[in-house]
Amino acid sequence: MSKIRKIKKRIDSVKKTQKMTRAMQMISSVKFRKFDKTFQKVKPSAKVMAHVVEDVAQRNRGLANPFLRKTKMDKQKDLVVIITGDRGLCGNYNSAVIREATALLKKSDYDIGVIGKRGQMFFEGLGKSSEFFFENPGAISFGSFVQEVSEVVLQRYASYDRVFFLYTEFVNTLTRKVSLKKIFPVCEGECEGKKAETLYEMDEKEVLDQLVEEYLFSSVTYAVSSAAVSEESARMAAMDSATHNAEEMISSLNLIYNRVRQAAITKEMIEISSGSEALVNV
Amino acid sequence: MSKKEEQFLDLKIVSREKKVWEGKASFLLVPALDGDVGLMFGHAPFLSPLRDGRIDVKTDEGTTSLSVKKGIVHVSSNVVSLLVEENID
Repeated sequence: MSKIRKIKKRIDSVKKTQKMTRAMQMISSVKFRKFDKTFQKVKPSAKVMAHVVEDVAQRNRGLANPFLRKTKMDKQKDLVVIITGDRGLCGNYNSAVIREATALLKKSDYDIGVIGKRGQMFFEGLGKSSEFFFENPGAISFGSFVQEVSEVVLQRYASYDRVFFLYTEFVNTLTRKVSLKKIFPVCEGECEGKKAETLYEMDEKEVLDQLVEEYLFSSVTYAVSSAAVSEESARMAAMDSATHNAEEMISSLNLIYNRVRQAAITKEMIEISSGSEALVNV
Repeated sequence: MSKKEEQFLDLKIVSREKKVWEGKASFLLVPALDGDVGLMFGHAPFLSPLRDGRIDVKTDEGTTSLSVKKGIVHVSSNVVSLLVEENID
C-alpha cells in the first residue's frame, strides 16, 4: 500500500512542477511577443545608423575622431561588453554567451564589462573582475538604461583600442547565435577613403560627436533588445520541453501506479479465494 | 524608362526606436542648423545636425510634412538617412 501512495505522491509533485513550467512558458511567450515587436522596430533604425557611420568613416581621410577611425592601436587592450540575462531557466542561453566569452579570454586578455547577473556571477567565480556591471533590466527600457551603458562605454573607450559587444543575435525562434560585434572604432587602420569627402554643415567635431553618440545609443539598444528577445525565446523553448518531459514522466508513472495497484488487487483476490477454498475443504 | 523617372533620392527617416518613413523622394527640404537645406538627386555627400522644424518630402503622390525635434541628416550616393530624435506628428 505504501508503495502505491509513494507513486501517487510522486505523480502529484510532477504535476505541480508541470503546472509551473507551463505557466512560465506562457509568461515567456507573452514577453517574447512584446520584445520581438520592439526588436523588429529597432532593427531598421540600427541598420540606417550603422550605414551612416560607416559611410562617414570611410569617406574622410583626415578624420580625427577616434571613435570613427583609429590607425594606431597603442593601448594594447580591448574591452568586451558581455550581455547575459539576470535569471536562469532558459536552456543554454546564458551558458552559450559565457562559453564564447571564456573562449575569447583564452585567446587574448580582454577587459570585460558585464550586463546581467548570470555573467557577473560566473566571472566573479572565475576571479576575473569586470570594469563595470549592470543588471539586465529584463524589459527593454530605452531611456535611462541604454543611456547609462552608452555613457560608461563612451568614457571607457579612451583607455582601450577597441570596444566589442558580445551578445546573442536573434535570428528566429529556433535559431540564435552568439555574436561578437565591433562597436568602436568604426573603421580600423587604413580605410578606403577614396570616395568624395563629406561636406559638413557647421563644426565638424560637433557633428561627429553627436553622430557617435546616436550610433552608440542605437547599437546598445539593438544589442540589448536582441539579447532580450533571444532570452525569452530560449526560455520559452526550455519551458516547453520541460512541460513535455513532465507529461511523459506522468504517463510512465501512471503506468507503474496502475500496475502496482492491479498487483495489490490480484494479491488480495488470491488471498480471499484461497481462504474460501480452505473453508470448503474443511 | 526615361532618365528623369530614375532620379529619386532613397530616403529613410528613422528615430531611435523605430522607422518613421521610407521611400523615394524627388525633393527634400530639411531644417539644418544654420538654415533650411534643399536636397535633390545627385547631391554631394553631406552631413549636418538638424534643428527643430519641419521636413518636407516631395514624392510622386505629393508633398508630405513631418515635424522633427533635433537629429542628423546624412546624404551619400543618393541615399538620404535622417535620424530624428523625436517626431511630434
